[in-house]
Amino acid sequence: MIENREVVRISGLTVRFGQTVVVDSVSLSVAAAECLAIVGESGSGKTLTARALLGLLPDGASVAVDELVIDGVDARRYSQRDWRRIRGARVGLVSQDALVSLDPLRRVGAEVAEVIEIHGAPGSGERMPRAGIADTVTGMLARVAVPEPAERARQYPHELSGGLRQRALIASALAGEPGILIADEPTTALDVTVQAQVLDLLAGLRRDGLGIVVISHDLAVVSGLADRVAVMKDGRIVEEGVTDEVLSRPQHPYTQMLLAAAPRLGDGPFADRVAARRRSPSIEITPGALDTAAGGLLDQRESMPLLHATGLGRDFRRPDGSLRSAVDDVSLVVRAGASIGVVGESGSGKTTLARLLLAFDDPNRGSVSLEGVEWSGVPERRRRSRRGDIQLISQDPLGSFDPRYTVARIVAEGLRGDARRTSPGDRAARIRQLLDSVGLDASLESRRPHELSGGQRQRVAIARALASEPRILVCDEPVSALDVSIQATIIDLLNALRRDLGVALVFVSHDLAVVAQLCDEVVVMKDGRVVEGGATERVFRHPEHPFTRALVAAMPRMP
Amino acid sequence: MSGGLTGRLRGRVGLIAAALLLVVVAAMAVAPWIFTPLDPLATDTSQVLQPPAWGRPFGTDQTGRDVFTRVVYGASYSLGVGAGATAAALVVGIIVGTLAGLAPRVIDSVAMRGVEILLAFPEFLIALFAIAVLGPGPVNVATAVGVAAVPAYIRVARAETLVVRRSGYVEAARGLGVHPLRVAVAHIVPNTLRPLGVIATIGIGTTIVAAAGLSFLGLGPQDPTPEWGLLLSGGRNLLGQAWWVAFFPGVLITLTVVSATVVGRRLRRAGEGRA
Repeated sequence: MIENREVVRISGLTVRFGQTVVVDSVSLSVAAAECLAIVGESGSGKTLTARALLGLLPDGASVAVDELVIDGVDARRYSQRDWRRIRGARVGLVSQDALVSLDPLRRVGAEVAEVIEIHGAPGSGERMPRAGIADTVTGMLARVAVPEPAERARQYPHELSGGLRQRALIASALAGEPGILIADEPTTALDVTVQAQVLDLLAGLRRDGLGIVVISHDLAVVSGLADRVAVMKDGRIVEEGVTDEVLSRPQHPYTQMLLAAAPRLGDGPFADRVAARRRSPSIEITPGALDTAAGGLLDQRESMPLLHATGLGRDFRRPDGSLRSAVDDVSLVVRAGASIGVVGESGSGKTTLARLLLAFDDPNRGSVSLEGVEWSGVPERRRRSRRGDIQLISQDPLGSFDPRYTVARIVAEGLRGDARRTSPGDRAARIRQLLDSVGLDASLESRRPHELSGGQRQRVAIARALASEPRILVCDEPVSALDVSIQATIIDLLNALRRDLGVALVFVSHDLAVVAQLCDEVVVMKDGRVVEGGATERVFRHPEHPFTRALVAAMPRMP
Repeated sequence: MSGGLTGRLRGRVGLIAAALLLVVVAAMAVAPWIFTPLDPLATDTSQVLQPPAWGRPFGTDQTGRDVFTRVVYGASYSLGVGAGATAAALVVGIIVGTLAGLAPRVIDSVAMRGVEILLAFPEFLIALFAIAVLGPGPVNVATAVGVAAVPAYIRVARAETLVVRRSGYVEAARGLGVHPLRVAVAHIVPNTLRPLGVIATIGIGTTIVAAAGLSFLGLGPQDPTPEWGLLLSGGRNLLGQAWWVAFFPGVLITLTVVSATVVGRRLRRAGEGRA
């Protein structure tokens, strides 16, 4: 530590929208060379708290604060003009999505240069000659470990990878040499291996004396970086303390719940907890949910493969006309009641593979058979009646619902092929039964999708999928958009479906920890190919392929 | 903050006035007799070209007919043609546009090139051309104006179809094994309707102007039918001595079209906010 000077101090911060209190008497402080993490789920007020430190609260917010000291200056009565003077110079902001935050029509270097033009040279604050700015920009990019900084400065944001974009954004936030950096979900949009690099970069900046406030929904992500953690819920800080203390001995029930819900890789004592959850999930599903088939299904386990993909390949044409294999030579066998995880980073071909398995897309090479019958490459007419056997649960349930439909109608669409229930009464009863089996109250039947919470939406999507009594559920990142506590309940539900109904799961995810909780087998994809596969336990504990090793090593972990 | 508030209020006042005017015009079209006790066709040679006064607010024309009464009765023609032609164009546009959006690329391309050729000509020119083929008359005016409006609706219906077709819920329906025809009827068409309805509201205004324009040129209903475009045309030679004969029908055409546009644009903005 270079010094322990306090760079931010805020106390009694209350933010209201009309009558609604969204941030409730929050107090916090950050010293130089210290990192404070504000952790909470969506709607907890964590982002608003951070924005208050930049004077960036949205219109209509009324703010009351007892104390607001930024870099030694009282900022309580700051006008927008005063704020503009210190934003960038004393406080820097790094937001979640660099692609949105960087001007698409401006070169990356210009973005960083602008800050220097406004706030003067780093350190001195003096106006800089034009020639000097270019060098300083290159220096800033080099400081955030952008390779070939001089060339990168001349490129546009879309020409950079996600990780480099995030670095460029951090460089522009640092160009005014602020004493404090606010990072709002700085790595959420990034792949795990890239995330690890950006977290390393932030840790390095902190060691150099920067005070950092990092906002995140993910305790694991911040656990390696933050000195202290503040847990927010409903606008209040419910627990605050040294990171290790909070994570190992959480005091507040909410923190305990968050920790328990957070999925993690199976090592140490957590493996037992995961195992325990899988043995006794909190949900029981009566075989009635898939009433007829279930009993017979369970007996058939381990016999004939339900879904058999051999040598799958799918090519897409790049804008310049050359071919790119999104999926290349992938084979997969899914037996009844199995659970197979497909993991990989963005662009690895996971989603393309899922679409091939669902026959939403046909492969250029190889074939898929469903229950021993040809499934890929046959006319849609012949697939239609069999589609009920394999269903998709997507990352974006809201997008998968017709916005005009009510919950009952959405689920009813899955019942269309049900020849046994033709009377409206039978169907209504069945809809209620399905909603019940996914833990939804019948009173939600008349709601429309946008009136539901994220977790409820995903349950409706599962209920609809179950309506056609599928034997396989293909889940494409089904919990990535959900808060951890909701995530855990959906995972429990999927686990229960598998155990009680014998539904096989193909679970596509970038999150190894989630896969570890749910899947017996896992395949790791990179650049369209399967680089490693096998029992989940074996692959994650003793990864053989270098990429798997990198992936496992990059997973954020709690101490 | 206060400036924004009055600004918002002013916007609202314009909207309310526009909506009110449309309601009044619609009422004129449906039940003209509530507004005036007179007969739009009754001539009175003792009252020729009288200026606006109490009892005849819009004055009288060269045969002594009450201009206000004629304007009121004219609403049913103008609005009828406007709404009828727009509705017809909308229906045809949805059917052709949806089919084009769902058709294989070759068929879609051919259809859209045809639509683009039609769009390359001003709508009014196409309407004139249609009238030249069909011959003059009130029904033909509606048909001609409708034909001219169709290409724009086809374009929007197709574009919306392409968007909805790629949506998650269409894929979900497909994944459930729902027949494509049913997907089109149950999901695609209903979800394209809202933006189409909005542009149709704006379109009614354009259609009224086009219909009035054709009547003005003598291609629509003939005298003594009280049609707005025809009223305007009948009064244009009298502007020097009796301005009111052409002025009031003109004002009403303008106000109706502006109101339809104001309401339509407001609906469009509301629609965009939905996202």
